Amino acid sequence: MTIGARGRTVTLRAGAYLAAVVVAPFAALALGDPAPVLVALPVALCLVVGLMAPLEMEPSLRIVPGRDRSVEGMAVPYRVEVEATASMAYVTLDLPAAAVISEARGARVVGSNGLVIVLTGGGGLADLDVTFGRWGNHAITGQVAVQGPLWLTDQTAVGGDSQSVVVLPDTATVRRLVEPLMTNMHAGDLVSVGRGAGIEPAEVRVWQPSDPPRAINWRASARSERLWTTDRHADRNGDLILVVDSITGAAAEIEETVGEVVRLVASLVEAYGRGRHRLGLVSLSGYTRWFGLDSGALHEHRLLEAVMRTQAVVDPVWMAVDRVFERTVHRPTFVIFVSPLVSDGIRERALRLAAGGIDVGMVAVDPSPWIVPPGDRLRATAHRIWRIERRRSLDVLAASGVAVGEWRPDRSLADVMEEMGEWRRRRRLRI
Amino acid sequence: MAPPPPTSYLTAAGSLAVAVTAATFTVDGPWEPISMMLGWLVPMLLAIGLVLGRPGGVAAAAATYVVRIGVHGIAGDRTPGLAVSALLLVAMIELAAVSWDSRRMPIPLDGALARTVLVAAGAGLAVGLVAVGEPRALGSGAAPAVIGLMGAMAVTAILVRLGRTWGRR
Repeated sequence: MTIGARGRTVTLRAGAYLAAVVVAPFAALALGDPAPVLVALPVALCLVVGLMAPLEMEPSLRIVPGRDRSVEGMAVPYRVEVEATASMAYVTLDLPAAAVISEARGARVVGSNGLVIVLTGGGGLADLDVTFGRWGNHAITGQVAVQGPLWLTDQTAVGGDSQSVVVLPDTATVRRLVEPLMTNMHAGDLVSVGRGAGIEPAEVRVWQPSDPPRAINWRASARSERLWTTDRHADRNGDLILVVDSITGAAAEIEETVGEVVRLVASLVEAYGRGRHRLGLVSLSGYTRWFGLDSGALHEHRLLEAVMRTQAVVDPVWMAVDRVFERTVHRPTFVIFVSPLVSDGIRERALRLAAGGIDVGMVAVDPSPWIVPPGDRLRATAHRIWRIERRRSLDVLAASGVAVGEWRPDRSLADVMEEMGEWRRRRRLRI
Repeated sequence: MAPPPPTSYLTAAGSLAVAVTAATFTVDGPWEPISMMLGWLVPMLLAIGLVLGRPGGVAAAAATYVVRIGVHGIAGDRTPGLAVSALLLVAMIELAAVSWDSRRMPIPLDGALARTVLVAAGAGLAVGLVAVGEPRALGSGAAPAVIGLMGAMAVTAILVRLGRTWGRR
């Protein structure tokens, strides 16, 4: 789609040539020497030839992506189509941040985002592979310039695609997850504490009239004069709500952590989605948004798209956050906060939910790697106190029944899940 | 604002190098100070045009260069020759223009240099062929009037053409 094409313009080259041609005869007359005219003669010839070109070269540019969805670091094929009555087209692509042209066929790549395409028969095309290094919703636009004869005139047009590419975060594979303590009434992979249709045996007991004949344990009944049945635990799934905390605080300069929070949440959505759990999402980015519990690929994709719209926020509207929690979080929901934990508000809400009997987990993203260590002593002391307070917040959460796992760049999400699971096992042993 | 690409820096440096090279050729005698002044004015105007982003600087440099050639003609010194002068003039303008253009469109450096050499050599060759005889002969008799008429006609034609072009913006 060509958004706009400007008319033909005279280049700087033509202006300089014109200056030389205009000055030459007068200089020759004033100085009484024909040398300036002689020197300017070929320049004048170039001007005449160059400006006798057709007035319009009518360039147009189309940039069409080969697919509408991709993952961070994966190449997306693009087709660049140029039409113009010229021999060469110079295309400048407006690539999003962290996007690079990894391969180009049918064009020469100049710099990081320039293409030179040879036009034959009024048109030319190039196939590109563009690798997006950052998740988001990306659309590539560009500008095409074509030159007239001797490059004395040029014409440009702006083009792009109406179709954007959704680049999903590169998610980590997690094999063992922290499962919800309580299950819901839907069939799934979790072993419920309740009895019902399932695989896991619970106990062998005397047959009751309401028991289904299929539950009769014939082996046990053969050794007795009464009928015995095998009770089983029901196979259920869980309800999970992921809370995306992108609060970075004022002037904290830890916006990078938001990117990591998004990656972790996307990984958790995929991992828990595979376990057929019902997933919900609460995002504290700007306006507080939430998605109710549901399952399925479409719902997961909707959650991922919502997660990708996450932006760093200084201070959310806490009243709205409380309303959303009241509306969405009920037992037996397992609430997992993914948070840099720089806000007391988040800690208080997690504690409040845990105190209300809700199963709560906290994946705390350590923002330290993105904080430049302060140089002066006073600020260094303040930084140390802040770190101690954050550590204390984690301890308070853990002591209050929240499964806490801390994520750092050198730890995988699987390690964090293991840490949370281990905390739960130790707590169960203590109880 | 993104910094200019390497092609812009390299061709700007090339254009300035050509202008400085031309400035080192001065004539002896009473015209020497003017020749030297005009000679160094050319790279200064070029630098203003390219560094400060004033396109008029390149045009002014080209005009000054042409005037200087006339001064050399009066002084009777044809060194380094009219053909070489034309070649240097065109090379200077072309490189400056490429430096300018590469800020807004992707221009490969090797292709731009090859094109500059081709156009500059063509200009030098054309002047060389015309000036095979004695160029000073053109300066006598009715020649100035003819030259003036031709120049005025060329300028009129170009201005008419440019008017059509700019009128369509």
